[in-house]
Amino acid sequence: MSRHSRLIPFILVAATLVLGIVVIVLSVYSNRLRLERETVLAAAKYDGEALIALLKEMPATSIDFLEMDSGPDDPDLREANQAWTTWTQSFSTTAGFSEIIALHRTRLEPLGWVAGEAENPDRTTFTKGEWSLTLVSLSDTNPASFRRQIHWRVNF
Amino acid sequence: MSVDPTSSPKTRKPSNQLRLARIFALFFFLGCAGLIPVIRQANRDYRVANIYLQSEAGIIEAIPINSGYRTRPGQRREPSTRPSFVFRFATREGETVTTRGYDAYGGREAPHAEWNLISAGDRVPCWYDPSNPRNAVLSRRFNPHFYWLLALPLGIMVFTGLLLRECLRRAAPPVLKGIQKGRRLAWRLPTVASQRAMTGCLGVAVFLCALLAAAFVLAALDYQVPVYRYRWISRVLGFNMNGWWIVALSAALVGGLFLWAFLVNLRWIVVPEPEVEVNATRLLPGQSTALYLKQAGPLTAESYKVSLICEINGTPGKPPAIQKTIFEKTNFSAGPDREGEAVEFSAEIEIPESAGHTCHSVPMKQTGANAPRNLVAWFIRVERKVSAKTTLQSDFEMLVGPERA
Repeated sequence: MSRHSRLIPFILVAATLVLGIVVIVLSVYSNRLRLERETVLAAAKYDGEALIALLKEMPATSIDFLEMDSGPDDPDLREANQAWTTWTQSFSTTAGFSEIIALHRTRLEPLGWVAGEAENPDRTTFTKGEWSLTLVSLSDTNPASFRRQIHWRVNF
Repeated sequence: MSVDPTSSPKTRKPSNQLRLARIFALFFFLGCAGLIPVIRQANRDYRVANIYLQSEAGIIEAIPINSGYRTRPGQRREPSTRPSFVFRFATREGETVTTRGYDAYGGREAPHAEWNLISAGDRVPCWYDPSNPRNAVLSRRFNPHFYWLLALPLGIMVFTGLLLRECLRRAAPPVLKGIQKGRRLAWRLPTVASQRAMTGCLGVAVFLCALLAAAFVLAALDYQVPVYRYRWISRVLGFNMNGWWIVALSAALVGGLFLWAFLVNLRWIVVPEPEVEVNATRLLPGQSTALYLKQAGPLTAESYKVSLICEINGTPGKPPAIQKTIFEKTNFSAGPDREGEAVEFSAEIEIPESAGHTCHSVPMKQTGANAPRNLVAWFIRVERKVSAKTTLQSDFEMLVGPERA
């Protein structure tokens, strides 16, 4: 029996051991990421709902359901340490879009939110850390309509 | 001419034993690595109990951790649920921390009644690590059952450690431990078995049996307490103590037996041990050396016998393979009136031509026709018959080398 062929069983055993260790380490790591994602998402949903409750009182009525989405549902390696959640709802209002923006500003700025640069008259964004709130005018006719999107994204 | 007992004849180290030793060493260190999670948990338990600071947490969401397995037939799923809560609290420095957990064990074995009333929106006490507030718990429960896990790494360490020790022992040539420079001749031989050592061992055995019996009695008494929550030993050990009276009784009986033997032997520990000196400790077959023996008093014996003994695969009660009487005297008396008065004598001892050499352990792999196949030990044995039923025996080991003189 040559020296090389005697080494084959050792190589096979060592390779199996290394593979087993890699699989265990990866599964522990991915499980830890999953738990961390669940934690930050739960906290973000809690904070997002508190924010929505804060902005509930305004001269507008909802014209569709509050849509909430979060993810990534099935994260790949690039998204392994990411989490996001979004709330979207459209409203109709007899007040103007600028009045709605002003109302959001008065409620958000005391909490540390910052109004972004006006991209155009029909769209305004407020930001705070990982959070952003975007107001988009959908129609200027009376009653006017607008869409509000609250978005949170984090790389943990 | 004296031979240095620490020197060993030039022998090739059996490489297969050292290779095996390396494998056992690897498993031993794997066992050591198994201690790491237990030590980490012990550190966490200590910090939770003594260092963590209290605060008040708001429960954000309960996300229990479910695990389970499928059992055949019918692919029945038997899930187990561990509590896990996302909660938020403020530290004493004013920092708001959001984290997840329940206790220091990840919720394992947490009593269901303790956590199933907690729900989102509740305000509950929490404890956090001041050095890393994300390490926070809602329950400071201590779970002693976790430490049963110690049995696994410790078992591996003890088992592989003994195998490793045996490999290293086999790889090294036999040497005499505890040998000293002699006063009359070159070397004073160490005692490998003596009355005092045996009595000491019996004393330790009595103590251990008493300890075990007491522990088992306590455990059995503990089980008699009718209210389950007072069965603290059962709770700490994690298993039922019913029927342990029998174990307690057995331990007490064995302890009593040891105690009887201890008391019978206790009166003889005052008899001084003989001192045996030789000129050479590593003899070759056919070689001879001078022997000097000193027996201090006070001692009165019906007979006093000194022999050269060779035991092959020696077991208690089995006659030795070689027994050559060097000195024998009836009605022996040493210093009957004055303590410290000793009897001394000298003789010449010769190892037989056909003697087998000392072998403390048989090599694992037989490398040749002359390789030892038996355990061989050579002694100077001193037997003192102090009463009709009692003979005190002391053995002094010598080494016999593999080559002929």
